[in-house]
Amino acid sequence: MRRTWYRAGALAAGIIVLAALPLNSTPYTNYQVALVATYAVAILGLNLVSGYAGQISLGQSAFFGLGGYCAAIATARAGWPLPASFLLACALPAAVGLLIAIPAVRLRGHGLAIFTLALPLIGVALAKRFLDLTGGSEGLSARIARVPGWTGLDIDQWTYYVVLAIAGALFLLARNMVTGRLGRALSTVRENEVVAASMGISPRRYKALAFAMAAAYGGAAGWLYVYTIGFVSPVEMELLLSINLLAMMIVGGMGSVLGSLLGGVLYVYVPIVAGTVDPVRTTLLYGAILVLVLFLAPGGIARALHRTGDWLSDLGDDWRRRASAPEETRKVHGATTQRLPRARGGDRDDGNGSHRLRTRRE
Amino acid sequence: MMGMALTACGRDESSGGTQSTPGISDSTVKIGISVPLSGPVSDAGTAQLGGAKAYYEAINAAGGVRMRDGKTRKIELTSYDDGYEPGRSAQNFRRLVQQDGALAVVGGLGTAQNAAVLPVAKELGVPQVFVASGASLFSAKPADNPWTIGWQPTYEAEGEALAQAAIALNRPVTVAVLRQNDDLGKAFLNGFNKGIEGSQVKLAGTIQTYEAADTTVDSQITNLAATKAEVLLSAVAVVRLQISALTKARELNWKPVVLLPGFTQGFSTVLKPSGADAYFDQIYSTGFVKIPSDPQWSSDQAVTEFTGRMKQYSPQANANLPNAVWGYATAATFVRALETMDGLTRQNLMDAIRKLKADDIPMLLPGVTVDASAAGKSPVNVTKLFKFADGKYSLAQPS
Repeated sequence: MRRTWYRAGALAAGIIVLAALPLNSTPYTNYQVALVATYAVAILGLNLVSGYAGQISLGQSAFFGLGGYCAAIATARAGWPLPASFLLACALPAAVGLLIAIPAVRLRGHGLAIFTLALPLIGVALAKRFLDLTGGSEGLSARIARVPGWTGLDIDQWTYYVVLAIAGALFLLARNMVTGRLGRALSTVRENEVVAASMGISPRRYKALAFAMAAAYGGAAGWLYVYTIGFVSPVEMELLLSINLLAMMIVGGMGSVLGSLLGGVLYVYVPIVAGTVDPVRTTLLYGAILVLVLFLAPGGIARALHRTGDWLSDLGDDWRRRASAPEETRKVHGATTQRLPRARGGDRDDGNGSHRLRTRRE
Repeated sequence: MMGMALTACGRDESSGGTQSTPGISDSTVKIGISVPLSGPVSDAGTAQLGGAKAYYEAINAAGGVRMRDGKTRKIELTSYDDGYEPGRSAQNFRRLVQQDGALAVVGGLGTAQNAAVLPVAKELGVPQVFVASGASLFSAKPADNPWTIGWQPTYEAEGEALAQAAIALNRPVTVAVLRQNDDLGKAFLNGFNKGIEGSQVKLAGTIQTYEAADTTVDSQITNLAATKAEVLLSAVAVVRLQISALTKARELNWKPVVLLPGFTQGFSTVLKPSGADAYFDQIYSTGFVKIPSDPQWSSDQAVTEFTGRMKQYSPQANANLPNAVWGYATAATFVRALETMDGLTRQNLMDAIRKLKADDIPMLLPGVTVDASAAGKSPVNVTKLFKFADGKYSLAQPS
């Protein structure tokens, strides 16, 4: 009971701080926070397919870019209303993702990863080729954000609120999905496909679903990016972004909603922190953080935070909750950790319900 | 904090810059730059920044920039890394303007990166000048983009200059074309087409294209060789693929006159590895700056000064990359604009830039001038033709 109160209090405090922030900070800061939310959504999508369903995807930047082009072309060029272009930016990448996933999930092991490697490469080439539509390598300027007059807000403040509201809704949606039936099904598929299949959960179907959802979140993030930055180009599709998002997801926390948020924060702020020391070492710093986290906190920062007392993740929480209900905490946050003996190997079902039982224990 | 939050609705905007111009004090001018200092193009970005820094530091060491109000000001350059990501370039622009109070952002590198900044510059009314990109969009429409201007010759201008080499053969020739399959490649070919208009030069067969991610252009070169064209316009922007193109032509015993873009003209990077230096009789390329390592400039005053300043102020940057020279000459162009400002506002700066003419910017080739007054053209819009012979490029005077 007390715990719920703390949680609600922390949440309310967080919302008030986030709501008040843009009124007192520079436009630069407001756009920066909006970018954090944007990349967090992209990483959250990646987490659905990689963290929860256990499939590495290197294609997230392609969906990010596709969503961005949807925003720029549908709204800035074709004059669609913003909600319509947002829906398109989610639906089109989801459809493309599903189309790709259907054959890709038939591949074993890291087949999907290799398959998705091609997406940014193809995406960049297509974006450059369809000059008239995409503006080629010069990109498309698309200032699609408009402040309604009644708010009295500046454009950066309005952008901040819109982006944070949409990102917040997407986070809530994802949280509800992964803590419900879908999340259990996905982690069962990740832990052991044979077991999943024996429970009536089709690994292929759920992997494809997770991939399509990841694509939709990637597309939504691309839309938010264009709403914030007002620009999209083939660079936004490049493989490097996919790799960076994946790295930030691992550092933030695989299979963790909070970890996705942390990933977004890191993605935006690590280069800035590195830049104050020596920007040339940014890549090195990324690498160092990644290695450090893998060694010291294999589950990512989010999980390390949960484990070491939750004091950052649940701001208002205190020692009483930990003293009284450590098990419960673990159940909530640790349901998908590697604490379960992980089994791999019997990763094939032939679709008729009979399975190869070639399980190897780690 | 909360009190402030409750009283503030919207924001009192006072950074419009009417009372005192942001970025200019009695003793300093604050400017900014955003370049890739990390990631795959960090070498070019570091060189671009290093060149600019070397020039500004040398000016500061000599006292500063003497401006028309009689005051001498030192230049404070703030630089941020954008990792070659357009979103970060746009954010860096805001940071430089809104947090650091820069007067202008000068000499940023990259096409998409600066295209992302362009609308922000317009929104904030802050100069985004002397952009390091060969795309024409930065200088093309001064009426639409009053706060933005490019610097170096466009890809069109480069293509047009190369056409002169084909025309100079002075006989009916056909040109086989290989270009990148994007707007860069198109711009290059457009310039070339414009250059050969009304001459005896014609394009041969089908134009071949490649993607930047391709691993080889063998089949394209095989197709082009089959046309037996006398000239090959190998407008390849990727070093690895240019090597592949020239190597393949050599293997096929095809010996056309070769025209190369500035991106992939290097002797040690392209010509030597592909064996092209010894095989082809005639290789042409273009340029507009002095190449510091070229022996013909070894006693040139501007070049020795450049080399010395690079060593002194930017030892970490590779002075042999063209970006270092561009950054240096761009800084010199900007200092010239500061010297000719009537007044101290950002608008005064843009006015000075749009009137700027100079024929003595260091490191530009003889005959290459800065003229930012021609609306729609980039400030440096002359490109010279170079001929490769005896292991080096020299200015070609095709007769």
